[in-house]
Amino acid sequence: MRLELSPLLKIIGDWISSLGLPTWLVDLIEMIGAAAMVMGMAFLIILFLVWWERKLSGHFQQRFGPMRTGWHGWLQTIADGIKLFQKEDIIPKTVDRKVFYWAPVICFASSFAAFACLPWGKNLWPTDLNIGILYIFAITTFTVISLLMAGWSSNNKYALLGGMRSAAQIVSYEVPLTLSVLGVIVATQSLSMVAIVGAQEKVYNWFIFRQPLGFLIYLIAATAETNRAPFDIPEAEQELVAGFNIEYSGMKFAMFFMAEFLNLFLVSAVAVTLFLGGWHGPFLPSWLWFLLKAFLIVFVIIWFKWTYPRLRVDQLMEFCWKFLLPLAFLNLIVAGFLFR
Amino acid sequence: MDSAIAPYLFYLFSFVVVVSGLLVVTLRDIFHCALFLILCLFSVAGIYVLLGADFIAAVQVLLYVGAIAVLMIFAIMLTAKVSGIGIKQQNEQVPIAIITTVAFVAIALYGLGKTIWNIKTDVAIPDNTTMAIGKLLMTTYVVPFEIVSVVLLAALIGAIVIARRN
Amino acid sequence: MSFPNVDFALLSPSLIVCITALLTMLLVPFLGEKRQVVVAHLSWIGLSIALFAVSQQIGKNATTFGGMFLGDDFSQFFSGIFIVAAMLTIFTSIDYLRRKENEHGEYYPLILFATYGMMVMASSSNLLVIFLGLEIMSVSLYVLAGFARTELKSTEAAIKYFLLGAFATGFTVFGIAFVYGVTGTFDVAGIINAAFGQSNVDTFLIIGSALLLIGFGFKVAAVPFHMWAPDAYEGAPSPITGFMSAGPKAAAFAAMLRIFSVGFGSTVPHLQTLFWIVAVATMTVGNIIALRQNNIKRMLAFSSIAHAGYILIALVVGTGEASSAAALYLLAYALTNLGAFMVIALVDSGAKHDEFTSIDTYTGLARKRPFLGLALTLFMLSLAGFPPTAGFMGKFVLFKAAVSQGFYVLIVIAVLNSLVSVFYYLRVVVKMFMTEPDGQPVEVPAVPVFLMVALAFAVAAVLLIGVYPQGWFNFAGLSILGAN
Repeated sequence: MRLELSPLLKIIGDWISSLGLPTWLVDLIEMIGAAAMVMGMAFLIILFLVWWERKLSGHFQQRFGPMRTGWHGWLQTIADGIKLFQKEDIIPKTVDRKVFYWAPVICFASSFAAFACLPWGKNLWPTDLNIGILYIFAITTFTVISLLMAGWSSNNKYALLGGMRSAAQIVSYEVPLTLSVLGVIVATQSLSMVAIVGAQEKVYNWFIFRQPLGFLIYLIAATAETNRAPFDIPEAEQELVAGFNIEYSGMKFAMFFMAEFLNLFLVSAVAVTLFLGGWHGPFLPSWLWFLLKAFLIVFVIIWFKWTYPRLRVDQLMEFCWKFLLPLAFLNLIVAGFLFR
Repeated sequence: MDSAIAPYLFYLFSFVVVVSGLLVVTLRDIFHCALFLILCLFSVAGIYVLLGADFIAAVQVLLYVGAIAVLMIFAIMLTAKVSGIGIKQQNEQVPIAIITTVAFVAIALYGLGKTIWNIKTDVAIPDNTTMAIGKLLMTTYVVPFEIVSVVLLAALIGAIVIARRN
Repeated sequence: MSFPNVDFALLSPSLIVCITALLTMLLVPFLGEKRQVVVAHLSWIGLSIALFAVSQQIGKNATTFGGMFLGDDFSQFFSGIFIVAAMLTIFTSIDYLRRKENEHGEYYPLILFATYGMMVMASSSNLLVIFLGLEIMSVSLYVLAGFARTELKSTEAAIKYFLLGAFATGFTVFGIAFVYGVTGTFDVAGIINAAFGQSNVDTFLIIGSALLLIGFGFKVAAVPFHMWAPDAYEGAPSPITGFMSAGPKAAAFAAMLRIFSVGFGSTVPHLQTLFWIVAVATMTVGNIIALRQNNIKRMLAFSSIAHAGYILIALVVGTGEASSAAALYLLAYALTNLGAFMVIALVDSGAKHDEFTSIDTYTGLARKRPFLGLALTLFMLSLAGFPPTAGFMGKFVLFKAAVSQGFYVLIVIAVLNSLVSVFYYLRVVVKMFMTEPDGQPVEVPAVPVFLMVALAFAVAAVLLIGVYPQGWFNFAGLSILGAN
């Protein structure tokens, strides 16, 4: 007996609709309820990921990472969170206040909004859109805008450079990223995340085996999309101190920070959905499979970060336009022949 | 969208489109103008969703917000002496512009009441618009679809010619 | 899903131009800086193949892609104009670019792309396809106008042309959207059918047509949308100015004749009156302002505005005969203007940076270089409409088509305008033949081979059209598909 979550949610849903409320209210409650659940999930994931990245980076560098707060430092993130909440929210005098205020909000909101059509488990998704994967790519483009807003409004040359660098990088790598998943879409003839997972029930149907090149391109481009090493030029400490978020402190900084981890999880979750069979797997409950696979990808991306040196800006762009992009087109052409 | 709140959402989106559009052409900080343009385009995508054109909506956001608006902001950032300066959006031709606009709106409103729009009510909106659009692009509209690629190519070469060194 | 049945023979002329453009474009980076001229030669060879392909399609009158792509005599005639214009421009440019030290191979693919766009415009009665052709043409020309990047005037020309052109594009799209909204189709015949039976035509169809008229009016530089033309013509490199006045103008008129002329004008009320006013305003304003110009390129810019006014007469008349007459007029005008700009480009290329484009530069030219002087004189006479030149035949056929429909007032105005224009055209001739240069005369370079060929061709063609048009031109009218 697997411990599935969807029957439980169904019972709650039935109970709400049996209360005799007007339909629009039921709709609203269900929408808000789903959003709240995903939000809670997102915060748990952030808490875990921050700790995990610190532990992993420690161990990659032959040290322990946080050890003192809780068992192996597992309460460290919570402590840090409390610290950030209490911190004074410093807004420098010369910033463009409104834009400065909205940038972290948009950044967090756009990452979070993409979670709406992730299939977390069997019958467990907030919504199944016809255009699922396209929706995710579309809504996350607001991240670029928010970084540019932060960089511009901070009125600081490092912030501006960081914002511009990250925008250039994200916009460029979005092209191979989008092209790399087209192979999967050609095969399933659908943009819906649920339908894509449905096409991968058997392990040998997983798209990592049918589209290995596509997966590789996706993984590389996704690493660049999240501005992580070896593609962390936007916040290259030696050059830009901290990049676009240099003037931010307190909760605003925390929102950027959280959005970064949300993005990290998001690209991993999309990779799982498109290439690793989503929530399909034996024995364990489906949602646990989903999380495990996603964390595996997160692990790989963190592994990249602590293994490879940073690229130079021109290398980064050349790699994208002259190598990844033609390869992504090749992959698409091959997919076109394979999945006729 | 056949939800009960759809009409209200339509008015909300339309309101945002109009207000943000007005702000684009009246604000003095060019960066703020660009941001409101993004809001305007995003709200248009919302209207597309209400009309059941989900694919168009996503593409609208992907292209206009993700590519065109970012390009505009880049241009603003790379242009010297536009930051923080209030740029005048009006000139001495404002009265003429107002007269022209009012005249056009008046004619358009007059026409709106009289025009019988060619609305095909007997055709159901396909459930999966992506596939429907794809099929049309590959059959009925294959000529324009292919020619568009030449437009883009010519623009690409043009941009390179203009931007080359020496 | 089956692949649509495609008539590739019908597509061949435009496809050859497009493929030549792609191949030459790919070749440019692989050629050294010294060998960019290879691209020019490949380009004109490709164009001549395309011209042959056009000649094979004459008389076929077929459509393909479900009527989206037409191959009637009208489109083949215009395709011929575009290809010849592009070839002559390339011949003029080879030496011009070398002398201006601006030899970049991308120049030629851009001309080819523009040509392809024009051919698309002339070969469809679908508003969507026409619009896309218009965009290909315009985008290429914006860049070509600013090709001399070190010259401030060239950049100015490109920016003005681009900004106003992009603005005009907005009008065109707006118009297409309205027309589509009312009729539910992009096809001209379908639009006419939708509008025909109705007792009162929808307001938005009229608004949409008016917006389309504005959009195309910008492209042909009709008054009051002509403001960009003088600056763009003056600043662009001289061969490109010639190309701009010949090709795009013909293409925009080809599209306009297809959309507005047959059926549409009489179906949509007030449109004919609108055309009447625009035509008269265009020819009058163009001619009067041209009188005061001292720069020959600016003068020819206003002259081209005036000629647009004459051609607009065909849209007022709105018969098939008038459309064919306009096609002949556009051919005559294109050859004449391209010929004139060959001489202008040659004189202009005498200086590396400062442009020799003032009319005073031509003082005494004919005494030193009689053949150049005679050639330019012939072109000026043709522009003014003297027999036995192409310009005369174009005007004669067009005015005759208008008179046969009873547009007497319009033709009287047009003839009076032609008389005014004689003054400024002959001013150049007088300068060349009858005045002595004070001080050092301008050194005009020797005529290079390719320019010689092009010039000889232009002179011969202008005379041939003027003397013996009935041998090859069907005066009863070209067959135009997609109109009823």
